[in-house]
Amino acid sequence: MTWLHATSVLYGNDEAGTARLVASTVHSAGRARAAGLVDRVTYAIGDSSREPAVTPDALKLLTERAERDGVELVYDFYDANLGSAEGNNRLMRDQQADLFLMVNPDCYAAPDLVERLARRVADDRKVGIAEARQIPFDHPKAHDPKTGVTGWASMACCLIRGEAFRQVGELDSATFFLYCDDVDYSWRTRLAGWTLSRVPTAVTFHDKRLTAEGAVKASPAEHYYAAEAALFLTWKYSRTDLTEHLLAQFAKGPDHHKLARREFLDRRSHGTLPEQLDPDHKVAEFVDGNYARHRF
Amino acid sequence: MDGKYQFNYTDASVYGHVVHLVRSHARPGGIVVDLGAGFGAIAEPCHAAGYGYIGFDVDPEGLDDLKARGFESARIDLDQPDDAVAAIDAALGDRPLAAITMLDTVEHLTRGPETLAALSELALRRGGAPLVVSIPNVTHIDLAAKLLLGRWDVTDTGLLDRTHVRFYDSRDIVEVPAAAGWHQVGADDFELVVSDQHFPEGLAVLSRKTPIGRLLADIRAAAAPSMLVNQYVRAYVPGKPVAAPSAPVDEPFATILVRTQGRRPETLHDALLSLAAQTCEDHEVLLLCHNTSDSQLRVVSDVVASFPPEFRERVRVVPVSGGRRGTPLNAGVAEARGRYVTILDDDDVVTAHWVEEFKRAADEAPGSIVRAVVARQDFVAGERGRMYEPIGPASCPYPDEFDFLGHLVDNWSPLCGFAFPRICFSEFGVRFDDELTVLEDWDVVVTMAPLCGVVSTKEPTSVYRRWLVGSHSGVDHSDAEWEAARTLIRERLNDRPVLMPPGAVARVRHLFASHDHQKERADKFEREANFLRERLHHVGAEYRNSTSWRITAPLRLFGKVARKLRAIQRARG
Repeated sequence: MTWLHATSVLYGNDEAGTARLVASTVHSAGRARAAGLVDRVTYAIGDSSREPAVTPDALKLLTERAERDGVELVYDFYDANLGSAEGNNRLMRDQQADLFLMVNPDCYAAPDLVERLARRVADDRKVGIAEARQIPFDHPKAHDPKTGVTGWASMACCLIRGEAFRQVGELDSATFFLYCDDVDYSWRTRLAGWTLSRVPTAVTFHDKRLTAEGAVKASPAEHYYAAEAALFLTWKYSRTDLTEHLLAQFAKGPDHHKLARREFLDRRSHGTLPEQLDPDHKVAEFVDGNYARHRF
Repeated sequence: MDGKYQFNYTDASVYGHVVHLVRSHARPGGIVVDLGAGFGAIAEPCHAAGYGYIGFDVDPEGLDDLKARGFESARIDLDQPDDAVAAIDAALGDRPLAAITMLDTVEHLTRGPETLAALSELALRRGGAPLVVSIPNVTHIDLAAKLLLGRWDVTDTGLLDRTHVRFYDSRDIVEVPAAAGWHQVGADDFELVVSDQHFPEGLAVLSRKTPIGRLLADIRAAAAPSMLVNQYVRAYVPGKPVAAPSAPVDEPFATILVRTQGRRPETLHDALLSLAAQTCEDHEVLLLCHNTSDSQLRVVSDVVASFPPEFRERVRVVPVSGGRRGTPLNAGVAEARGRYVTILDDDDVVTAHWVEEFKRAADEAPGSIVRAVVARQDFVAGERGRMYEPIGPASCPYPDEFDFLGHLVDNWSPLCGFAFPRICFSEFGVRFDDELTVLEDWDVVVTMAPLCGVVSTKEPTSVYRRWLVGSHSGVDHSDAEWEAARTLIRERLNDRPVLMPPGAVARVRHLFASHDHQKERADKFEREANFLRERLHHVGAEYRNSTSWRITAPLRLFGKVARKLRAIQRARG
């Protein structure tokens, strides 16, 4: 009996978008069930929106839609913005699932996504997290072209082995509200002895858009939390040299850098920074401002 | 009638065309019933072809003339259908009906559809005799061009005969008879390059040699058939009435044409995935499988079938055989129901707001082409079972606004950045040129843009994948092919009048000014260079003639000898 537990955390998503998210996810999970890779599928949706993003009528339709693919769907309105890390923790906490599928609310799963990810995890007992390939813009971080082994796994869409999740523990929501919770979790998973694998045939559409110059657009919140995460990651993974370098840079940077710097310094003065890991720098990589070597 | 409709028969006249269709479709050995016969211009040729002939008309003048020539004739009022049919039955008696002819008659009838319906029943009752008609074409280019100038010149006879009560175009000529139970089986239209409406002399819109006349003729010729048809000459057989097709009411905003050869299921999968994720679901997808084998078609169908029903029910798989790159697109346009047509190759992907952004812009400028920014990313095909890979980040190298003048020079816009108003294909007759092996999209853009304009949205919404290794049109076709297509399109553009959008004059002025400025700069540099060359020459001459140069001559000779000796020593090792 293999139990797959899928999770998504909404934040201000419209009904049509949520319907697409649910349809694609349960359809893909249903196909994996039909292929015999999983037996039971549950799908927990958390909602960090100000107002419920799913009305009672819409929830009824979503539940019926999930049932058509044999998926049990539950919805929880948090009445608070918990961020992605704590939002997902709540949905996975105490669940004894064999596999956890994490799907961003702005993703659309390919029909064979779950099947491909589940096969990868089933085929290699060392894989703790299997990560999907993203379109329209593939993440530039490098991976081993033969094995798919990668430095960190994007949790926009990935499959976590239940055993690994229970060993590693929850996402560090106290430190990473929105950004880089996946980088941190990936490195902790590797420290626990698991490997991370990119599965190029498992595809998710991730609603990323471009600026006029061709760069992937980021919201002001993303800019801020990315800056904050950079400080916390360098600190947590024992690269205080980089932390100090960033603090010096951020002091002269734009407002969101200054705000991130202030948050870090506040936590440091209050002694609430995360415990430092990876003193020998076995897993953490900081390359040109990225958390892995990039292909381009 | 005072003889105004008395015209002589010749094989090259409209009567000759009618007799040709009678010979092709009439039942042998019977009677040709000529309704609205006038003076019976086709009586003798029908007789010569072995048919009996009875002329019917409401006007006695022609009937008397027919009798005098030895033909049967009878009075008839075709606006009284029942009486007319009774009169025909009475005249025919037991004799078989070979065909019914109506030359320049239907357009005079106030109850034309009813009369045609009654005649269809008569023909069916009498063994299925055909109907042959000649009807003036109200969409002849001469009429269309003059109407633009506010001219509607009614005349005693001809295209705008003052007694016409109904006008016919190339759709009516099929649909009106069909609704009355006559189904077209033959056509031998009578054309006139210069119709009776080709006046006044020297009117620019009527000449094919003036820019405006040529432009109108080009538009008219592409839009619909029969530009030069003076009279439609058609044959029909009787049958059940068929109502004209009604326009579909549930048109989606867009029809997305996805062209595939079924050779790249991985990229097709990704292209469809990006369509399934569209934030605007007001679209249908036509998957045009071009020259695919059965097994490739199965693979494509399986990819579609794998998607959730919410998406796959919007997708139709359309096999298309033969032709080049334009063929599947034309087939797709013909099948499309959307108000706009967008096109995606099976190796490209789009962002989630691709359709949404097209719709937003189209709502602001209905009927215009919409152009969005296309990003480009370099890829290599997967080898030895590996997935294809991007090898660089996306970039936006194409101009963010559509520049018509720029597009007259070259193609600056990948196809997935356009949404074309479908009405432009259906009403202007724009087609993807299947003679072109590449750049068929550029040809359509420069053809359609002057007609309906282009509105630009600066949002990048699609990704053109440039394959640096692997198969796609960029590498499947030779440089010579690309250049030949480019040359052909440029020559065609140069050969025809082209409408410029507002703002083009300022742009041309700017280009000229820029050119003049560059030329001035170049001239200035050349003058300066010449001056410096002269100065250099002059200074050199002064120097060589100077006392110091002459005094130091032995030193230079000594240096020259020393360099030579060193070179010899080096050569000896």
